[in-house]
Amino acid sequence: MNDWIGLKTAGATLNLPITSLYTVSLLVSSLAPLARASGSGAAVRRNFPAGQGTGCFPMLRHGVTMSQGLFGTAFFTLTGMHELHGVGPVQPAALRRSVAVGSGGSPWAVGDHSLASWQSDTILDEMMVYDLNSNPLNNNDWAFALTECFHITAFALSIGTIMLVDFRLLGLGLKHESARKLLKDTGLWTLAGLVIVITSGLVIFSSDPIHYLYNEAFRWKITALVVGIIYNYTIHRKVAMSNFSPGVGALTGLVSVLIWVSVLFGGLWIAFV
Amino acid sequence: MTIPELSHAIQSLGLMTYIRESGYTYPMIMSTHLACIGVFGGFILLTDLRLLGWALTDIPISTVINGLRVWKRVGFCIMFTMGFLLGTSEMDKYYANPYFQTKMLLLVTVAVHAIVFKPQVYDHPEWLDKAPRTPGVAKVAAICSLLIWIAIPCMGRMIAYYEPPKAQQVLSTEGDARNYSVHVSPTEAQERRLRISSDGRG
Repeated sequence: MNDWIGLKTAGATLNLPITSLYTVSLLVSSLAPLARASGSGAAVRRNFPAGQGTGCFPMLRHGVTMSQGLFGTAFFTLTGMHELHGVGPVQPAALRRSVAVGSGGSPWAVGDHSLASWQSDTILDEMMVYDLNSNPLNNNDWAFALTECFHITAFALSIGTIMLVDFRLLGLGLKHESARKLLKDTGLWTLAGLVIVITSGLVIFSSDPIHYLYNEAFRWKITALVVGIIYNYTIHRKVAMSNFSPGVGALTGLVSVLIWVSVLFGGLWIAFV
Repeated sequence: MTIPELSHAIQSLGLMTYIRESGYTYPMIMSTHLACIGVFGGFILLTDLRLLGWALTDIPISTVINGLRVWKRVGFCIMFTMGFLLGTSEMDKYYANPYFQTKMLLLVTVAVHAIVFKPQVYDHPEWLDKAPRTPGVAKVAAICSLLIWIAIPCMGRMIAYYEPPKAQQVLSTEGDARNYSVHVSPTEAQERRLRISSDGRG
């Protein structure tokens, strides 16, 4: 197997010491809010785009792009997300400040994302006056439960079909069929399941948006869900469609199982945090 | 011994008491129970959809049934164990819950389904491959299985929404907090919203 993942090219192209330094700064910035030192976290975070520039331009020059190799897809998807996170509006923090404004607090009392709030203020204002009583989910005995039933059935379908491919990647389940075939056969069901699960999820979310936004488990779940969907349609798909070696297949399948299980765990823990 | 007494005796066992009163064990067991629906539940749906000719149509029925059989069993064992622990640790609350009772009844129909259809459909799937069209009995088995297995998690979810008559409510109020997000009365929700927004925590 030659360099289809693109790791060799990447290794030869990247300036590893500098890349490592920026990776560390990115990780530190992610941990900083946890340590309630978000001021310095933001400073570090703002450096990351520069770091990414030094990383990705040489790679682009050497032909490592998003559509070339597993490494390229993973690198540009993940760092791209981080870049947006670093320089773009950071929604949860924006919402937090807007809530502070809405309840008469100081806009500067919480959060450090000065760029962020303009966009979500209007949405937040609407949320603040949104009367939960008007939502059928809150005033009908059956609506909430019924929506959850759709939600559960749909995730059994979407995640279950992904699991069929994952098990194949791990060398289990329908191991006599190719992963490519299983993926093609189940792709439409996965998509249908995802559409229903996300739609019903949004309906459930509407029953009490602020509560969910501030729920740590919900945030975890949504993060894992976004990662899962991106992973599913990039790396996971790419590996399943290729003639993967058992090791690469197993790793890809295992990561997928872990991501989707963590989505489910996050969903359940919403009620317990 | 009456049913309420028996239920109370069961949930008073050391393990059940521990699970009920634990901080994290209870939701961990529940999460595992739920995760099994995602990981293994789809296999049941896919087998049924294959029998109905709606999915995996270019893969022989026997391959699907034989390849997934062991994993569906593994999933069922984990799911049943977790469900058993959850159910028995809250027996006081559950024994009179009509959704819980329906779910138990549905689990019995799973056994009935197996007794009725296993010899004809699931034990000899090669026969189904050779048939020019999927035989009716296989399709009936698939539809029954779909209905039962969709109803089971739905009933499981509904258990949380049942409000017992006043006299019973006194028996246990301890688990109510954790069922909180499931059904929020609007006023509670608004109170919480105000509380969250006033201290500004994430």
